[in-house]
Amino acid sequence: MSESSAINSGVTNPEFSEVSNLSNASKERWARLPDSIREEIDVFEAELRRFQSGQMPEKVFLEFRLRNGVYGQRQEGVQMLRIKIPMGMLTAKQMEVLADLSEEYADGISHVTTRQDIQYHYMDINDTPTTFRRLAEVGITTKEACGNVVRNVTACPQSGVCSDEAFDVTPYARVMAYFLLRHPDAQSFGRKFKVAFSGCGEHACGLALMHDIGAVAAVREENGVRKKGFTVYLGGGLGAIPHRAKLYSEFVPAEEMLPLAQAVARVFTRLGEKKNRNKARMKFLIAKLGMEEFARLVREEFEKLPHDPRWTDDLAEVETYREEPLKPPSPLRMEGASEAFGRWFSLNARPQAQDGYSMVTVFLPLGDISAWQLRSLAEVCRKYVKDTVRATVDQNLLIRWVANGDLPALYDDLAALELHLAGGNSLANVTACPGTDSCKLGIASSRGLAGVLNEKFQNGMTSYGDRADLKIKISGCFNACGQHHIADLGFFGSSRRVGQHVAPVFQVVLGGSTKANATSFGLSMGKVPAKEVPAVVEKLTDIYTAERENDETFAEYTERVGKGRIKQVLEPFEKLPDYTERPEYYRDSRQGWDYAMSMGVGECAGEVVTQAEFSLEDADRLMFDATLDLEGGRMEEAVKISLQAMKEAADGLLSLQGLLLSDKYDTVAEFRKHYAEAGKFLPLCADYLFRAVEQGTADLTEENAHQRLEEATLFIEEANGAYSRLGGGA
Amino acid sequence: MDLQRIHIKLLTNAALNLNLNQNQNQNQNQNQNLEPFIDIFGRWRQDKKHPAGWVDLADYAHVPKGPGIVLVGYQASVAFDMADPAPGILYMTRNGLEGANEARIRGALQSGLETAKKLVAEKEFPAGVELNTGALELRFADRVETPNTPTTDAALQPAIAAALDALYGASGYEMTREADTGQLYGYSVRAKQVGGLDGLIQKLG
Repeated sequence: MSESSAINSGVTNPEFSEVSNLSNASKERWARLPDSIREEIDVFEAELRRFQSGQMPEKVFLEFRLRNGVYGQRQEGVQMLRIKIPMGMLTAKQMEVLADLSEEYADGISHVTTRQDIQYHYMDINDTPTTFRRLAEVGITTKEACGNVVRNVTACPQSGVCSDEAFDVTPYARVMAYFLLRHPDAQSFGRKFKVAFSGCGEHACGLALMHDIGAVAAVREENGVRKKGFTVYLGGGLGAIPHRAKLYSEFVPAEEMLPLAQAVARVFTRLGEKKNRNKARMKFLIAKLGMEEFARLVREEFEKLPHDPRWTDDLAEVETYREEPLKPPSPLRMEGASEAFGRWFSLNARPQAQDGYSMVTVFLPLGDISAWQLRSLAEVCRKYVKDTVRATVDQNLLIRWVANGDLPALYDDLAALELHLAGGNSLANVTACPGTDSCKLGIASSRGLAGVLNEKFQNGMTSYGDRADLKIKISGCFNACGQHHIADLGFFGSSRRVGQHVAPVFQVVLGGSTKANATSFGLSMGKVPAKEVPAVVEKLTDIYTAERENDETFAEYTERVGKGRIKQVLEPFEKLPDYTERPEYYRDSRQGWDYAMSMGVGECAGEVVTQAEFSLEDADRLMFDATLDLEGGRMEEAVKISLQAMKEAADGLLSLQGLLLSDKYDTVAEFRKHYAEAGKFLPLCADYLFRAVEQGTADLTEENAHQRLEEATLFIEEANGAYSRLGGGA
Repeated sequence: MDLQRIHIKLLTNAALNLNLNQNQNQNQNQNQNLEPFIDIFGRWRQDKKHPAGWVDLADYAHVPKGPGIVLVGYQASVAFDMADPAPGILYMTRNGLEGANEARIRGALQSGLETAKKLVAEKEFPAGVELNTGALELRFADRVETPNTPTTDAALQPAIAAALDALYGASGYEMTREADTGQLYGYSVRAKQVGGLDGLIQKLG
């Protein structure tokens, strides 16, 4: 399913691009985009201009832009753009376009995130509409990449080539991603909603248990027939208070996954917290209700869902999904191979389930790749594989289906691009969130610290960096975007004041694990100055090596020796020297100036904007559109759109009564029942809607078309008034 | 055609093995060698009145042959860029260029040279690294407005040549167009004689 075939934007006015600033040449180019996509982006551009001219409230525009992937940075006036890459799947053409856009509109870097997205930083918001259009040309969207909606659907990047999986979850995850994208039941959450798929229950790659919906592939024999399905977990999430997802069902047949997700979304919409965003993730709802009751509500919702043909039609794609190698399988010959190749091979290449093929990790320190590297990598990939590249949750890229005989040549080609760094699957591969580099919530520089560690692992601590039995994850604050809870060695940013000076420090969280899809979380063991973290890593690695028993993991080791022993190890590093003695302790990693604690309001936990507010804004936009049509002499179109605007406003009010757009109710009838007859709407204004429906567009004159638009405007004004009188949905 | 994103890179003699400072330990890596620019750009960004509208630093020293340390601005950004053909001072306009194409190109060149002059004068600028004022990479970073096509070249080449004539003299340089159409449209420019920054800036003024 392509992005273009998976649209339900609800936008109907093809003339909207008249208000945009596009040149004629650009208009011709973008006209080739699918209508619904083009209109959706035109609407974004129009709303941006309305906001910039003071016609749209900031709160509504903020959530609107978030839902289009545009995120405010810590630095005023520049934006981060999050680009959804479902399951991290990238084609060579997409990689080229991503490279081009980063070079033209961002700072030349594409950043791979822990949820398989790509992010740009320091963008000018005025460049976002063109960026959207160019992404859309290669089937990529930023729609619903941020905000209180379903975020990028992730999946184990090894799906389909891993020898431990029950089956390839890729096509199921893909169908889920496009089913939920723009789905009307997934537009009114109190917080974000994340879905992940994993091919097996053993390994870490999918991290399914830290998601709102975690689906782990399972196979069941029924009457001698092998049936595919999923073990489903609900209500996981990291954040300041991590929750492991709870088992909903050992086996949900694959064909029931889409309606199940829809049912979960509807229950979360109806009962989830909307006011206190710190308690609004689904994990808190499940904790409040208990899993048994939540599961009962989901089953009840599932049973009464109106049938949607997409539940089964979309699954047809699963049957046709195939991933193929470019070249036939071949053996690897190590004779004459360099030592460097041997090290890279051992740390970055893994055998596939398919004989004769390997998957290769392109290790990107801090998840960053420059424009020229990404563009050139696309060309290298074309030489060896067929569009089988995936962004990974470890912030790297994975090239799949490399014929083993090609590995030395691929290594040489990657070396020419400086992308041959060994360590993709080792301690050197440090995960870090953006931290104070760009995030408003950041307290300390997680990327700066990761940069320092990266430098040391390449220079002086190489033997540590090559270890495959430990992982480091760093967050800039307690919100855990760097996933510090599930690392052997986790760190999250904090600060400590000594006299007049404040120093960046990191809380040390030890013993988490990504194994078994992230089932165990680490424990806080103390705080150390940012400057001491590399030494702490070295020390902890040394004592683990010296004291571990047999094949004990780090998590098992810390549990056995206990907090007391670990505290003893950390104690020498905890002391913060006085500023006069060691001023460098009061500077953050890779910063030459004194640290100053500053924390804003994060947008990842965007303010809740109700469906009603969005609908009322949409109604305003449609009325503006209708006015343009009237001015242009297109009276019939103007009147039609003014009616659509009234219905949009009515839908907004009806959402306050618990009606969901996917219920396919009759807007006018329901509005009459809940508002006109209930005395909650000025009768005069309510009549404007009823009369407009009755009259349609017959016998229009310029005068009565003008009057109809005036009436629609008054209706929308009254809808806004009703919304206020009802306490904004409170 | 609305030229706004013009990239000007003045190449240096800094070795591609990333050892910018010959006095430094040869084992030092790119991260360490780019550290002086953190201090310099950290100071520069405090100047809230600078026409580039400085925003903040982006540290990409860990990206091999990447943009290094970038001082991002609303109107223009500057970096000590490690990418091919050689490390150099990269000045990138983003917004605010006005006038005819030639005036915009001259304006970008002038701002780029003035920024380079200021940068090399900083006390932390790596010793031993010298600017080659006769080696300049000029790119137009907007594939929608200026795709790398003959049509773009026909429209822009005269303005580019006029700006370079002013800088190096009409027969004082050679310019080679970027041949790969996937890359940004632009030229590699090599002057026949190398002059000082002050003189070049004056010629554009």
